[in-house]
Amino acid sequence: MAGNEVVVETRKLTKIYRDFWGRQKKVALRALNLQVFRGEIFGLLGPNGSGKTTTIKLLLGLLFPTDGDALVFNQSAAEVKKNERIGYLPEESYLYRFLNAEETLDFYGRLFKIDAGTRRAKTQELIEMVGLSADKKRILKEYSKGMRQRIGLAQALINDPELVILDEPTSGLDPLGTRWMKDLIVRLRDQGKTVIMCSHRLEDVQDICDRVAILNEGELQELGSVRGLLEDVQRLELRASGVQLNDVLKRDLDEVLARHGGVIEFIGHPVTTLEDLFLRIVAQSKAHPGRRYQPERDGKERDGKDRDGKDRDGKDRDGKDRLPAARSPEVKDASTHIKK
Amino acid sequence: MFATGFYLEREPLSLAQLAGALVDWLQNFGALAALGLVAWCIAHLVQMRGRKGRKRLNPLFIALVSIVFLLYAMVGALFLGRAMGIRVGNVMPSTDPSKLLTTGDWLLALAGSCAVLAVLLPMLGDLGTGRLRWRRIVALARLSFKEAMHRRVLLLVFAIMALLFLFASWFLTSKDEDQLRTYVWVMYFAIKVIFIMLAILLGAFGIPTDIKSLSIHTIVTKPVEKFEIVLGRFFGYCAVLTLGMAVISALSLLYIYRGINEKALEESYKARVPVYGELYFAGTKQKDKGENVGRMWAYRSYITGPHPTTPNASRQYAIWAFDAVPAEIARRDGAIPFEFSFDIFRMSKTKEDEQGEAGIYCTFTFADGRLPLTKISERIEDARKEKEALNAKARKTLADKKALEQRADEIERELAHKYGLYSISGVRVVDYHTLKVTAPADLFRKLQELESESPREATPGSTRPPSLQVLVSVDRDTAGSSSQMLGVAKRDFYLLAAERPFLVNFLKGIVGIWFTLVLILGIAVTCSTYLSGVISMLVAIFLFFPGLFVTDIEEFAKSKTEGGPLESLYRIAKGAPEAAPLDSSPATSFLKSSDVVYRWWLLRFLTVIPDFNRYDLNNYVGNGFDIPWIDQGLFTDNLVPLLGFLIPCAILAYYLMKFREIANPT
Repeated sequence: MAGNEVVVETRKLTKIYRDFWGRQKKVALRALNLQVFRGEIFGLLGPNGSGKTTTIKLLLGLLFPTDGDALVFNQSAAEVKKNERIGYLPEESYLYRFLNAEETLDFYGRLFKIDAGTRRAKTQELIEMVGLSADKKRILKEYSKGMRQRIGLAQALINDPELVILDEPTSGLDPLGTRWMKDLIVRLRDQGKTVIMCSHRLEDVQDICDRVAILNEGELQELGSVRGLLEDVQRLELRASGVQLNDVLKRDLDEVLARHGGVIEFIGHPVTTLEDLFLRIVAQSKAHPGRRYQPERDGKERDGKDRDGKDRDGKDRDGKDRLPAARSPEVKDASTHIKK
Repeated sequence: MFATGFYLEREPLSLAQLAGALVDWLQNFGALAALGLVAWCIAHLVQMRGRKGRKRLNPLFIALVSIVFLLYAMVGALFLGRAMGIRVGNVMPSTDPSKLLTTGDWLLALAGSCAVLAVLLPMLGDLGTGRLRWRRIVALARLSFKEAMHRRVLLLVFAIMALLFLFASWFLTSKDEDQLRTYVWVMYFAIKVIFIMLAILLGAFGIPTDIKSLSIHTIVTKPVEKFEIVLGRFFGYCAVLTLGMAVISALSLLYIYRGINEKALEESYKARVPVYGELYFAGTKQKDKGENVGRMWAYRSYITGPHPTTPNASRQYAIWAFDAVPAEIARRDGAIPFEFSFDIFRMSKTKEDEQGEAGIYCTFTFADGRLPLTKISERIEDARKEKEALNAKARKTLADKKALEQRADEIERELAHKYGLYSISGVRVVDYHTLKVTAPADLFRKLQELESESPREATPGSTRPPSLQVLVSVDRDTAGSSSQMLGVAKRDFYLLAAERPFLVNFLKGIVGIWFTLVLILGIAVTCSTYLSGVISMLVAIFLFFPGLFVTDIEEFAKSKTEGGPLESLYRIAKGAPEAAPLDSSPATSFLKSSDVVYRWWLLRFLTVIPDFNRYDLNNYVGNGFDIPWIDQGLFTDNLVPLLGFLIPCAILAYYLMKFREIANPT
């Protein structure tokens, strides 16, 4: 979990892009002040052109600041030595496509002071971790985008870094890959590593980040813990089990809330996320191969309603779960976001 | 015909000239480094303006920069003083490298040294602190090698060369003795063209492609110095080129072995180790030149024989003065070989081959270098008389023909030793054919004895006399009409000290081409650290082509008689004849002054243009002349100039890469 040790710090970090003649083209980042602590997952959010990637590039020394300072492990970001403790996964996995997975990891391993034996062992370990053992002899040119993203992550971890910087780590990944990536990021955090990621996919950030910074037009708009930023103290959420929704329950709850000055905005059964549904389907399909969808037999369409219009909630007519629940407890119900 | 005898347009750099060349390099490259320092100082001041917490600079660096500016200010003061009419002895920097160095030269060299050291400091710091690691450079080089192999660049090269090997013999025609020359010329030319293109393409596109594809982001975010990427690319591509060259060289050698004929084998399939003398003339208008026959290429000078109508006219001699003859020559038994290959210039209209093949007859006189021409003539006469007397005596005492021949030979050797000279007349010289004359080893023993008795010394007003001089004069031509002249150059006549294997020499020639590739690769990689792939390629080509004509450009830039481009344009526009002086007017003065400035810039431009011709050694290999390893050879004339250009390239690439924002789209 996050400690007090500052791993990354920016002080009035500013980046202005200029043309060849030194004329100002765009202010990409304006006086950004940030601190990222050891052992946290820190998310950078913002629309396109908000300065997320510029911040990351400044931290990595790929760009030089126009003003201010970018410090990583208390060293200037321009210092090459700091890279020994950093792993970086670019947005696209821009690896050398003529190398296979083993050669790729071996090459990046050679850039660190890792002896040959350790490098070979680490290469195999990472290939296994990212699930590419069967494809390790294929050149990356033949890989799908998801596979390239996996090997990209493996190269970022070749030096067992203390700080992992991920630029759009789930970009282009299918739901399975996205889940795998998110789980891995959480695992990295659990190992005591610090993770900085930027992403467009807000649900990913919400799922795994401890703190986020929201940027827009190169300015820091919001900074804080995800929970702190998202918590709505004006509303109350109640979950219950072992009870079916009916008019009596609704009236009773209404009365209780009215006594405390509240009012029901929404009441209903929780809806799972599409991601969870997808993961469950794939998991079951792996366990029991073959086609499952038979509308003639089932007599209903997959629009969430029976022909009589009744909500299905993922259950068969006999009321049993069709799919095994595989949902992680920290994922919130869709119902919390639905407003009347 | 591809090659007509062994010739060199300029003398190769010798060990004795290295110190002067280093001073020259420090002056030229130091001036460029100083310009870089000025640019850096301005940029630093602008960047630091209004910033708190200034970064501390290395005190040694500040000291060096201060000394550089101080020394250049002193040189500037010298020029200013001269402009104001103040003369303080011979202190101004000299433009003639053959002259002794002046105070101004030393100041410039010292300023240049400090500037070079100042720009080298950060690099040396990186080396000293272990920031640059061979481990990473080798990893990056391996990557570059694999990348090139994956792109199958060498396969393309091999395919083109295979076509050449298969069909070249259909199109190559030459005299039998020129066959090897032609083969070597074609092989070297093809290898050079193909591999230079390859080197430029690899060097120019490697780093820009990495930057464009963003692959470089995954490397610079590892503990890799950006300069290591440059070195990795450079060494990786060097390995690709070396592998390709090795394969093609082996195939070329096989091709040569397969089809070489007897005459070519005799003519060029060897590596002669020549000892050259300095050429001068006697009996001509100028000591350093013979007759001018009106050829544009004034490489050779010409002498003529006695004309039937003026038999008493003074004789013309081409004289080779050998300052030192290798000591081991005197220890040999038998005859010492000298080889020559002269041009015959016909003044009468005949079919080309008729007189050229028939040739002319010459006299070769080998004499003690201390003897004046008149003394040589006297001694020749004395030796001739004594020889006749001794031969007559031998004929009386010896009946056996073989014994008589042996005695005649002994007489020759005894006389050579006695008189310190040996003369042989009626030697047939054929146009551009390598022929041989020999002189008895006894002559060289005599020269050594003379040297140990009274060593040669320079006298007031004259330089040290040579050890040996060889006088060549024309007896008569085959037509007997003196209608042919003998064209000679310094390297047309030499003492054949040894003969070495062709194979090693061929590989030395390949090393020369390899140096060219390394240099052009270095230039292309340096350009690619800042420019895009296409622009880098064009810049490399732009620097390469003038590099083939450095001698001509230098000649033009230093010429005091020919006008510059503006004057030429003016002459064309006015229709003024080339030789006539321009009319004096403000306009023509302006044109002339502009041309002077143009020439000055041209000379400065030449300091950054490598002379690529120096790496073209096919002339040596094709003609069967050994390429020396060290003096006037691969080390001094090829490797040292190569380093002289690669070091500035490396420094430039270091800074361009260091200050480049890898992820900046602009």
